[in-house]
Amino acid sequence: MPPLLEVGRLNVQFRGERGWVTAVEDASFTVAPREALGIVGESGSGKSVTALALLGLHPPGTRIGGSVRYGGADLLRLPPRAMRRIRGGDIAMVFQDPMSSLNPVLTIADQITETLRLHQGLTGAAARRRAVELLDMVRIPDAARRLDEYPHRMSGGQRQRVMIAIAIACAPKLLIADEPTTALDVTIQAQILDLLRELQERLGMSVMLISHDLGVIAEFAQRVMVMYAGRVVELAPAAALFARPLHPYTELLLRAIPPVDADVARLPTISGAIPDPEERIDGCRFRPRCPFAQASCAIEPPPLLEAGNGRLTRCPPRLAA
Amino acid sequence: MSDGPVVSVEGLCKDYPVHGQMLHAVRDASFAIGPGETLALVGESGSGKSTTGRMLVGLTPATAGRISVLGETITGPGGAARLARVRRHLQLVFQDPGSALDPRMRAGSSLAEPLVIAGKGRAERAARVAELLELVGLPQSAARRFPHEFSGGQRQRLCIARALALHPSLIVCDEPVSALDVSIQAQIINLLLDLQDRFGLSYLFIAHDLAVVRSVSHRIAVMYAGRIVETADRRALFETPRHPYTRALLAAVPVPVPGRPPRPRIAGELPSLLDPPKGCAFHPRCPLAVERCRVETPALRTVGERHAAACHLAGDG
Amino acid sequence: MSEAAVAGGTRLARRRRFPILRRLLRHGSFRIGLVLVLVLVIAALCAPLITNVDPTAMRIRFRFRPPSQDFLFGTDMFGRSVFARVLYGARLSLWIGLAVALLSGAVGAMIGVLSAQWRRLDGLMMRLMDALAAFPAIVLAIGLGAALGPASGSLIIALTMAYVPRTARVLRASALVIRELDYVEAARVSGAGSLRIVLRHLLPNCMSPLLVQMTFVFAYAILAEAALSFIGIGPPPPAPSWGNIVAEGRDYAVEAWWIMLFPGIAISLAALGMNLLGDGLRDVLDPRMKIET
Repeated sequence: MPPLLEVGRLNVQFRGERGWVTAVEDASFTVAPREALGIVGESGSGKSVTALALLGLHPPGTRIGGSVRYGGADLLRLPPRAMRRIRGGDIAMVFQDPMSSLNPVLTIADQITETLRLHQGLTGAAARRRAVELLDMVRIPDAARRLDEYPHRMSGGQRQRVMIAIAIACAPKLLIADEPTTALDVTIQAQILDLLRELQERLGMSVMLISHDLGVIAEFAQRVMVMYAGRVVELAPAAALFARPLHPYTELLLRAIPPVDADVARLPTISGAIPDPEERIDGCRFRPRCPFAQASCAIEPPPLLEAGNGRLTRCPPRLAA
Repeated sequence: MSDGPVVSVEGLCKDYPVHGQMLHAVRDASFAIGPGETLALVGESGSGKSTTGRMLVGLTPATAGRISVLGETITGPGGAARLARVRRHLQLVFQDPGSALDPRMRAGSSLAEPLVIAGKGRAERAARVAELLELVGLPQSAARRFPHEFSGGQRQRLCIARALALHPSLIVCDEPVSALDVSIQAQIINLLLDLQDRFGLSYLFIAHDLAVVRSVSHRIAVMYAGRIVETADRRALFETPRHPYTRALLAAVPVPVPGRPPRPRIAGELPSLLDPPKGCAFHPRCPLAVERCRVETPALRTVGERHAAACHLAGDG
Repeated sequence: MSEAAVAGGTRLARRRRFPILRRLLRHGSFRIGLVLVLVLVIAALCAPLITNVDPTAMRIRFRFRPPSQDFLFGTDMFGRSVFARVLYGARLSLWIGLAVALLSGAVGAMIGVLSAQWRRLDGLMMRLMDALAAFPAIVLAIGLGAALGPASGSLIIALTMAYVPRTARVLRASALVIRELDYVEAARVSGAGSLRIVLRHLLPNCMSPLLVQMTFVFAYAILAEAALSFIGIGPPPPAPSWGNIVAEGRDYAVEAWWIMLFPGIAISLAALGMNLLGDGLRDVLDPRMKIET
């Protein structure tokens, strides 16, 4: 099956204090139809920047290279008008903070019907009927009445449901969810993840879930891409990745998470700190923190290598061993 | 130091007037923390866990109830004077290390501030600052730097160092690792454990992440809508949770093991503190709720060894 | 201590010193503002080096000379060199601007931060500020001028009183935010008293909004000095200020336009320069505008 979205050698650079700062370097990946792809990384990994760049939502003055193939076109080279049609239509997005993503002076109905009008030309009673339907789909009880409320009357979880309703309004082929549950309470987070999974199945869409939480990724994704300091370090089917991580960073990160189902005296740690984006590190960016680092790791940036069974890793010494 | 608890809390309440109504942020909380012990307060937003922590260090006055620190009652009439006496034994570590350090003060001055307030001389301060940096694994050169020159994990080390300055007995840690990256969290957790072993510190560890809580605490109190609904030793709470809310919370924790069978979720939203449900605050979301839960607020009662739950349906033993 | 913990701490991020100064100097409008203000200040300070003409020396023979090689900005109705008067006038005008900015900054900061820290003071102080703000600056200046005599001192006091409420409110708002921040609470947990919190934490951290506010007040004060001089309650002649040069040239605006034009340009440049400086400072110092990468 041909992929829905194909990202090739994506590079994103921002203007820093001393020249250009690379936020994403050489990221290549695909999203298949109906697939749940998880992107996991810590701060400065470039996971959110990647998502924003796909939709042309990066701040002005950003330098972007590579390609994003979608439906025979390269999204990076699309004129702004065409891009706006795809954004919110074919490809929709849900953000982390449901508090600031909704306009506080408009009712829920206003905000949902705006999307319907822009992308599907739906107005009046038809738009309202569809809005109620959407709120039902995201399981907001008593949808017809809640439609005329303002966002401040709703809890964080309900606002995130409204955001999801707006995102799925035009039956997107791909939903990009950037930390959609991070700002929510634990029990509400579980509900939202369940909802996303259910909607994905029901609408047959692909979902790209971005999170710092390996637990959330494990619960949701079929395939997982791990990013560190702007580079994709590992890409693998979820089960294989969590069972046998190939990259030292993935392995150490998994071990550093405190387990909820076992008692441990001390957690294994990853030494050092996440590098500053402006800091220059030759070769592998994880090398200063990597207990397995060899002399060869410092020479050149390691390439992303095939490791069989649809797996990729950016650690040649590990792969050779 | 005596073998009695470092801090004991009885019937602690905190009400806030909001638009003519009373918001009950904390209701009837009782617990004790022994020397070298960690009590974790777990809950979601509005559970009252942070308010409880703030009352413990004297940042928020209690509406009712009693807090005793090293035998001194710091609440009620004359409490302020007694709080001043035990002040140095109580410290606080915040969630966001970015806002917990004055951006215009060098790290050394931030660490020395408690010592200045306590009236220590210049030489003594310099020696203690050097010692503190060593304790939290930062180089001596850190003293001359400003907060923005540190990473998040390093800033949290500085906050912990500042909290240690006056040799406290109890440190209230309010979500100390939740703002940190996963690969940094474990470093800070281990640092807190090492310091506890070394100095016999007691911690009140406030967190929403049950996995983090399991790795640091000896005892755990679960809070919901201002009340402690279950309290138990670590193992008992994680392996035989008795309150349905605790069970729901455990089931909701995402675990990095793909393909696990879906666990039972609870529906519904967190209750409003201005208009909490009658009876047990959890009953609208509880899968087991019966008529009694709708009318009668369950009291915290013993359900096992050092294990108590506030649920009508949690049987004895 | 575990090995990992030590290793985790030793590598400190290397960042450049004075990052704010660097960003300010890269900020376009700040640079233009800085150049404008520096040129005017240097001109004012070095006036005796630039021209050896006494700004108050009258030479009736040379009345109303248009700008020429001999009289760069022309001469006024008493034959005084407008060039020399504008140069020396810069001293008085800039001094009034600076004095008003510093005074209203100091008083406003004090009132703002104190009412943020001592909430019982707050109600009273803010009502007082409201009353002061409601009082027109011009009437205040006329009143003070009548009471204290027409001197630049009374003008400075009047303008200071007019700008204190604004500064106090801005500072109070900043201090109210800062006093809730964790580092202030940490100080409180360590037993810090209110005075220590005000002096060590609130005031230093309010410096950015204060500085921004002061540059704007500086610009307003220069404009206000001109406006008040125009209606005859500015610094008294013969000592030149930009305001009173313009005021004196008013009657000859058509036949000797240069008397008003050159001080007018100076006033505009000074106000523009200070405003640009203020904009730059605000962009760089205001955390809400900071772009995180």
